Amino acid sequence: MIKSMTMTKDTIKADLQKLLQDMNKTSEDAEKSLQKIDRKIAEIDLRYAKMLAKEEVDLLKVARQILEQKR
Amino acid sequence: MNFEGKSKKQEQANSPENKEGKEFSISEIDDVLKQKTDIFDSLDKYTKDEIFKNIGFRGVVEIKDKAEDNYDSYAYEKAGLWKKFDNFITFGLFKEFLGLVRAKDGELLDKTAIRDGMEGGVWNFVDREGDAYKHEEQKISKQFNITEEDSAKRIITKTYEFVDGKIEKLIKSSRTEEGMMEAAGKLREEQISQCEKKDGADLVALKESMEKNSESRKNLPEVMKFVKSDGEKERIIEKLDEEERQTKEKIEEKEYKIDESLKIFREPLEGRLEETLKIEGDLSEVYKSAKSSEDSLNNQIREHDAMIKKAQKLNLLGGVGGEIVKNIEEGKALLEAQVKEFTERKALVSAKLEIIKNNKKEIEATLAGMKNIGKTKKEILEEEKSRKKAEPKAKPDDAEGKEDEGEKKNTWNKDRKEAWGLKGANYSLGKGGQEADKEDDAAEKETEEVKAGDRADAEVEKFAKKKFSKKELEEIKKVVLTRLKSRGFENIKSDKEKEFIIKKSVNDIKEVLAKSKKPVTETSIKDAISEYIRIGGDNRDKDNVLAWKLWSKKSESEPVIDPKEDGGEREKEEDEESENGAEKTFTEKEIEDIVTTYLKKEGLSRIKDKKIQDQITKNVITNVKKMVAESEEPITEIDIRKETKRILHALFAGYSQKNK
Repeated sequence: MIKSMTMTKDTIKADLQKLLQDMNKTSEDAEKSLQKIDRKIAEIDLRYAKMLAKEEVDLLKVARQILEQKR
Repeated sequence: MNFEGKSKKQEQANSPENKEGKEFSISEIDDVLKQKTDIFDSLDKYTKDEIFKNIGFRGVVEIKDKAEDNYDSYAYEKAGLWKKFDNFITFGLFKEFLGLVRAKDGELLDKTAIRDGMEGGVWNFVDREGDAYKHEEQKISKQFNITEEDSAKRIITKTYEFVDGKIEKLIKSSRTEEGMMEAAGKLREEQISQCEKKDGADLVALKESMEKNSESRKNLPEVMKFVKSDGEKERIIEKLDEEERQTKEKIEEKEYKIDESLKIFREPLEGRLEETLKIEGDLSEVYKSAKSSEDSLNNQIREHDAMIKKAQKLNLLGGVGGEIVKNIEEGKALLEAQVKEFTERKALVSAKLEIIKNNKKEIEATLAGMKNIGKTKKEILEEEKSRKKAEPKAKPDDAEGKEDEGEKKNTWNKDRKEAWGLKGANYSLGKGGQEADKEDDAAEKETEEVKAGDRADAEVEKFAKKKFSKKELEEIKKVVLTRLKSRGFENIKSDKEKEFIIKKSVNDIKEVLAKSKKPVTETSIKDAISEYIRIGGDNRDKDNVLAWKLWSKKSESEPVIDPKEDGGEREKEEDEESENGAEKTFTEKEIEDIVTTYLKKEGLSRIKDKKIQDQITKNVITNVKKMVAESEEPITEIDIRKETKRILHALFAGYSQKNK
């Protein structure tokens, strides 16, 4: 009986230790994934900013062309 | 500083560039364009926060004027000792002649000298407060012909200079970045609108006239009947052909002209649409990725949670084990924080997706508007029809987007940047955004749960939790009690036991009723009871044993079936029961119990002679035991009952013959 109890205790301890390792691994992976997502968001932000800046440049160019034609 | 050699106010106001503040100048555009292009070209070197920091625009509409006592006295130097003395001896009568002015605080100022530090300094009216500045600003706006609405999008500045012993001021009015873009946007819209009204309308008229001509040509044979000369006929046809050819040429010319004049607007838009679609696709991918990570983490947390609970329940861990559990709990908290981070990213991306979708709608609507210039109503309708055919189901929000487009046309500039988070962007969300996300998540979660699980089960479960009305409960209780009474309920002496049986039975029948989804009527309750008995109650529930003892009994109100009379029916019933029969090794006691119960059920007690009863019982038991012992195949309870029945019949037959 005592032997069986010790075995159960050891098994659970081993399981929990394994679980802890898994958790650490999961957390590390999640952190990497977060960083990847943040990088992508920043990259998209930059592209969007570039698009808006280009849009403004285009708009100003158009306005300039219109005024030149009117002259 | 370049004043372009213009010193008179009148000349400035009448110059082509400056006669009206609302007008746009090429030099003004060039100034901003250069800065914008510089930013654009070096975008990769900048961070997103640096991109849109405000840029001040200078030197657009300007007026050179003399300093005025009302508004510019702060630029005057304090009067020197000799000036003061001169003023004193003339009792102030020649103040003007001396170039002196009395300030509000009583101090004497010299208009012929500029105060130290005032020359070249720029005074921005945006930074100034007070009635004097406000009044001066209004005066300048009036000079520049700037409306109240426009003045919010313009900056007015003032610079002092000392020229030929006089203080002069240079007043400038320039657009803010927002004002500049808005003006350019208006100019573009105006140009498109002009194109639509002029060339577009001309083209529509040409097309319609062409259409009319072709309609008239259908009636040509009828008209030709009245023309006798063949030469005349030929001439008419030739003329018509020539007219048609000319109209076609004109249409082509107009189409080309419209296409060319719209090119400068269309091409950047097409490029932007392409980029918008790419960004939309990439954002969707990021959203999916965040969601998948969030889901995966949540699942793992649930699994870990179960493990922690299990370990805590077992209570086997002390010392090191307890420490591990503590570490795991900390790890779990970290994972939960990470889940929150993913949820925030999801919300952030979702908000960006919303913006990009609106941008897309705006661009598409503008492009569609341009595409329709010069098209007849018929052509537009036909295109609309074929477009609808190509898109079987138009999303309801598409229409909304198009309706909004007109209003949103001029809001793309500042609003979008801020909405996207390009000014001081961080990942924190507005309250509204977070709440919306929470709602979305909840709805999403529910949908996923239903998808993942069995929808039918979910519905049954939902229904099983249905609350019955008081009246329905009373009806259930009434029918259940009647049925229980017919099964010997009254014989139970303990009131507590009786109460328990009723409660348990009503609850069980309620569940069956809920699952049947039938309305609560006497018939449906009876059906539920039959179903309950058929499925064998809930034998797994130990608490139910008391109640089930009654339900498994045969109703007293049901007629006792004679084995001889209704053997077929009983056999059928037994056959049905046999489906549930389990094969096992029976002990002698178990065999005796089964046989005795069966004999009682078959009405053995009706034989009044106790001796004969015992004899029959003993005889049947002996024979059944013999059958069980001799059988080479596994025996079930049903087999024992069948054998009991067979022996009983045989014995009855023997007794009948003896009696005869």
